[in-house]
Amino acid sequence: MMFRKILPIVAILFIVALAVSNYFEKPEVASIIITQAYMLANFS
Amino acid sequence: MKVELENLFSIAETSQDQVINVYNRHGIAIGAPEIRKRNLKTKFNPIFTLNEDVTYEQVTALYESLEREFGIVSIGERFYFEFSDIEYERASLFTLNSTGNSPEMFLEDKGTLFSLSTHCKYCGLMDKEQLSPIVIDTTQMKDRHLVHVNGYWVASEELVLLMKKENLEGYELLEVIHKGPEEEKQLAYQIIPTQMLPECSKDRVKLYFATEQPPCNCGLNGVINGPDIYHHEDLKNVKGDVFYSADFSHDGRYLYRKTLFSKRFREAIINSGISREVRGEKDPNFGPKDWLFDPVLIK
Ligand SMILES: [Zn+2]
Repeated sequence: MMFRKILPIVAILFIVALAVSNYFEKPEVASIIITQAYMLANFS
Repeated sequence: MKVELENLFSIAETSQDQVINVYNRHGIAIGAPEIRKRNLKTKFNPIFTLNEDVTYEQVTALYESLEREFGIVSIGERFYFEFSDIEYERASLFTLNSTGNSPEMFLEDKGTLFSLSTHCKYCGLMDKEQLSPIVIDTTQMKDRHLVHVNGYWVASEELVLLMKKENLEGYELLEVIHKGPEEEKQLAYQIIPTQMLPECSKDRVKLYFATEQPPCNCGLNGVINGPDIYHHEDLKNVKGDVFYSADFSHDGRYLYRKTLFSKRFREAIINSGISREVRGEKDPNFGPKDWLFDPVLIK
């Protein structure tokens, strides 16, 4: 298998039928992810 | 098409290297992690490709090791489906997965009437039949051209004009009912496909989360469907630009039929400047107003 760099991608949320497990819906996790999504959307 | 799996969990920063070793021991090569600090624990999110070399069976064995050796019981899983440039260029149909990486692409239903019936008595998934026009607060659409309301797509008047100008076919429009402030309300239309595609190929990738309950017997709840894939012959005589999928999608409670769009529809959106061209969720072009179309695969 190819070596793959790990990227901070957990950020993108606003997709129909997002293929994520329930873990991502925990408030603590979701808050991190949403912050990241806004950062990406607004400041990149 | 490539399937990737991203894991997410918390570990103590000191055990990071050992955790990487566990992945490697299971034949899953991962590199230097992107660490997100959060108190004493850090978030660790390795991403790797699933294929003949790394199967999901290997991944479940990996999770057992992570639990046994590090006590990691809570692991997030996210699948990504990535397409090649050739798959984008050859596709005649596309799935629309987002009309902007922003919460504003989803609009809340304000009281559309449905008749509901139980589809699966085991997981409780419900069939719903729409009995009234969609009810939304159209002021919330602001300057968006297409919003998603519980599985349905609602278009702005401007988008409808563009669809007519481009001679796109295969849909009817149903004006939505506005519920909200009178000021700045706008006309908006549900796009209702008039044709249904044949059933998907049996070769469609089906996945599940190893960290959750196994899929329900109905084959819907707990199943993560990969990209739509059709037999070439099944699409040969298909004409039009908007279609219902014959295969059900669901939002965890209700079933709905996904809408698929033609290559011409996608090109009209890009050429008119409504959205930049986006190829996959990780494309830097996927901003708050950009549309994410995934190509439908042909077999
Ligand atoms: Zn079921």
